[in-house]
Amino acid sequence: MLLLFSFLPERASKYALDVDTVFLVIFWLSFIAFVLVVGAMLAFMFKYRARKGDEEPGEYITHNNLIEITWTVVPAIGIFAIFFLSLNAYKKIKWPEEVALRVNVTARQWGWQAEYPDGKKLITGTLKEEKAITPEDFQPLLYVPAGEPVEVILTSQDVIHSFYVPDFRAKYDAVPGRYTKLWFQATKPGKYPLYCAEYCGDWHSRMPALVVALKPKEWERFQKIDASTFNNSLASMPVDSLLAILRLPDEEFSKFVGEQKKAMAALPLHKRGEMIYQRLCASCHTTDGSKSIGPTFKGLYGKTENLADGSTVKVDENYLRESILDPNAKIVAGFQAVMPPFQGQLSEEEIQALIEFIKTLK
Amino acid sequence: MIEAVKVEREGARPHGTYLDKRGLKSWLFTLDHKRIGLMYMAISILFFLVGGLFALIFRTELMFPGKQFLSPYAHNVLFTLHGAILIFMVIIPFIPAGFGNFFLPIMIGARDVAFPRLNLMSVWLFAIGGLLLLFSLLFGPIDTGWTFYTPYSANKGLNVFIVSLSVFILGMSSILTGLNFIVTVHKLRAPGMTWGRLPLFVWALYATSIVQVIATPVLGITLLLLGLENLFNIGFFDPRLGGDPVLFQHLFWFYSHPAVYLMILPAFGVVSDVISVHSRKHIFGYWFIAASSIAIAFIGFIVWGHHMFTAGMSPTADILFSFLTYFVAVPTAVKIFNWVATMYKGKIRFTAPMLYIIAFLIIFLVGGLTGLFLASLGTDIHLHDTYFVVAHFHYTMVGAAIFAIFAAAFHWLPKMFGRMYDERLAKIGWFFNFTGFMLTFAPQFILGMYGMPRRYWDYPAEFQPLHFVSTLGSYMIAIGVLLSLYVIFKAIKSGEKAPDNPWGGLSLEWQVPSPPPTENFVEEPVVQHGPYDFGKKGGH
Ligand code: HEC
Ligand SMILES: [Cu+2]
Ligand SMILES: [Cu+2]
Repeated sequence: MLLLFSFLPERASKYALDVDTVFLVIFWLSFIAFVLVVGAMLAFMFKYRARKGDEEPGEYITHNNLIEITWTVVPAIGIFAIFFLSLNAYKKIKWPEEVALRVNVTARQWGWQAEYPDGKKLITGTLKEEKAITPEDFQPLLYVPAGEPVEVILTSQDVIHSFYVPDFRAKYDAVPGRYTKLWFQATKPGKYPLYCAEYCGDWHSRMPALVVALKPKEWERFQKIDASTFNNSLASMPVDSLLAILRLPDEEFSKFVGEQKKAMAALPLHKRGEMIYQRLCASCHTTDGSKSIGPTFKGLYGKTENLADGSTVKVDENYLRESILDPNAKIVAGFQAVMPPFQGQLSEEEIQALIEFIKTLK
Repeated sequence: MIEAVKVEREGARPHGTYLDKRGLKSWLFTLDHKRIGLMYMAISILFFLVGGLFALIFRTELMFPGKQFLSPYAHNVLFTLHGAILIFMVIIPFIPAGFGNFFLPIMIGARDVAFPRLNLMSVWLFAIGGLLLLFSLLFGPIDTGWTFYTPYSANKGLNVFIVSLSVFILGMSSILTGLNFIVTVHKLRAPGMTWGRLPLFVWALYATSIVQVIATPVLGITLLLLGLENLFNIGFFDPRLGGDPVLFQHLFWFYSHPAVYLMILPAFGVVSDVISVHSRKHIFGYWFIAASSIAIAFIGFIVWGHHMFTAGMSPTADILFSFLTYFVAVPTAVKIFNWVATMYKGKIRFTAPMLYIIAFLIIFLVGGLTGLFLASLGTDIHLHDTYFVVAHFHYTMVGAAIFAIFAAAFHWLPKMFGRMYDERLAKIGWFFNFTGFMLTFAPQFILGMYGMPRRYWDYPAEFQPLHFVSTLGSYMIAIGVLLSLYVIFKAIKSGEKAPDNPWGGLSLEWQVPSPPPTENFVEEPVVQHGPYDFGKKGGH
């Protein structure tokens, strides 16, 4: 029994125990059925094996209605018992008591984006690498309060993905063009891996992310950080650094947040643009003139770009803006149309910051 | 005994067999159901080797985390083709269109199926569909998964269109075969061949045919819509054009859940016949087995939603589909109990076909029982789209269907070709297949329980040991399959001459010569007893 539990991942959500209980009940009922049937079969195989030279047929037995009705009805009862038991777990998975936090999560090929009601945003990038996935590749997507019900509103930008946190026993598809939802309540603080479970193309296996459950105190702090400070400087931090900040003594924490805010305000627009670039664009665009998945940003502003349809265009602010928001409107010659549209994902200020940054790369 | 056949055996034994005519044309334009059955099997075996090879390649890639030698796209193409080929070209047609074509008419005492020309057309369509599937590779191999989920598959272009067309044509072939069988069973039974004297293999084929005729058109239409969507961006399924991607899943599974019964019902038929003959005992509970096949065929139509518990259905639908799914479990359990009970007080001979049936029972039992975890709403949400599902459907469809194919192959080989196979080598092949199968797929249950999603090109290092074992298992299967095929082809080419009835079977196919004459029976047989009357007083 304990051994079996050890084959299931950690139990870290409120309904995980309900799910595992159903799992165990089904397992043991199945186990008994398996032993009975295979046991009988092995016994018959041994007892009624034909001896050498025995050409006689077996005994003439054709049927026995009583036995057959019994072994139709008994499994039927067992099976429906399982159905009702699992219905109970399903109710808990499906309907939260009351929701403390709602977060929107949008899946894309191939990564996730979370958006909090106060405007905080976390985005995970794609890991298009040949090396094996390591624990560091699981980037934080959600910070949630442990012990409180959280609802995730899911959708997708492109194809169907599926939001799956094994430790919570929680899974639901993110479907383009509609909203679906799921909820969970983390029972203990910790970092829980999140996978995409619906096949979505080449890098389907490379959408690893983390759900981080925070202690009440840490969560309180997390909420205190204002959205723009968070988005511009803290969102891209490794989980452990952010956790360390959330765990600072009161005074130091307020000081830190204050400083970040000031530093952000003091930062010139193009510097802020550079930070966004590091977070969202560096996986496909370089700043040193070398070619990557997309064209380099070096010397981009002001030059005349050749487009795939044979025409040319002068790179100015409007072209840059359009290329970011709707990259497929004009495709650069020699490149594939693989850039995701950032329409609706960047604020006006962030777009300007990016443009300013690109302009500095002479 | 069957009087007419008795006469035939004493005097008018026909000269010549259905294999006598030579030359390519004698095969391509034959109207003989036996030859058509063999052609189906030959095509399927070729595709089986290709689809199996693809699995070996991506299992090798998955032996270690990170990239070994396949790009993610190549890996995705291979698992897609592996699934599409094995399902549409091998498991669905093999038993019904292969063995079924060969034996159904003989078993009911008919000279041929009701519509021999239609039958020839079926096999032609089957070949054309297969070629088209290969032809699609020229336009960029598809990587949509055999499930073609939209919108991922909705704007790929010509390659998805051609594959949809291919499956559409394969579906037509399947419908025609089903139609042919239904009419044949109703109209061409020999005198005395009452419904209660039909071998259970025939009952199973009859149930399968019903599913083929009713469900396959839905698949055809769905894939046609998908193909058109790819060519003309119509907007059936792509939400950017106002379509509904989940609608596709409903339509797809409306066929593809019944399709699992297309794969498994004929296997059930094989088990019933083989287990009775090799236990030398009457099948236990003939009517329960026959009726459960029909029950499964019908209930199978209303459970498709169990593939969509996390896809965005209403809770009402979730609960209803879960409830109905449990219903299918009952007739399936009844069958297993009846098969085991058939062995009780038998005289069991451990021939290669019997060993395959024993393996079938163990594997299928595991497959069926693990289905309970997936039918249950609570646990399915965790297990859906993980390796648990992969293991489950390989246990049910592959373990059971492929093992039943091998059982049928060794059981009927002496009849089809008049030659015996090498029993010892066949058993060694069985050992590799059975052990290899367990090693490949048992670890995948555990991977799934841990939460390893399916269709992953890469995985975190902690999953590696189980993937490693799984790959080693797949190599064992490869050895087992190649060895078994060698045994079969060696037997066909140079096996010892087989007697007409090496196992002492009572159904009609054992009463005709091996290999059977073109017309099956010289005179119309008159049937006077059931196919399983072993040990009946005054009988045998
Ligand atoms: C998945 C890879 C990818 C990411 C991430 C990405 N891009 Fe691109 N980008 C491309 C590709 C490929 C092209 C060239 C094809 C095209 O024009 O769409 C491109 C083109 C562009 C162009 C036009 C370049 C030219 O030479 O005319 C701009 C501007 C641009 N991207 C900005 C951005 C910004 C800003 C970000 C981050 C917010 C970003 N991209 C993120 C792949 C990417
Ligand atoms: Cu995904
Ligand atoms: Cu199903």
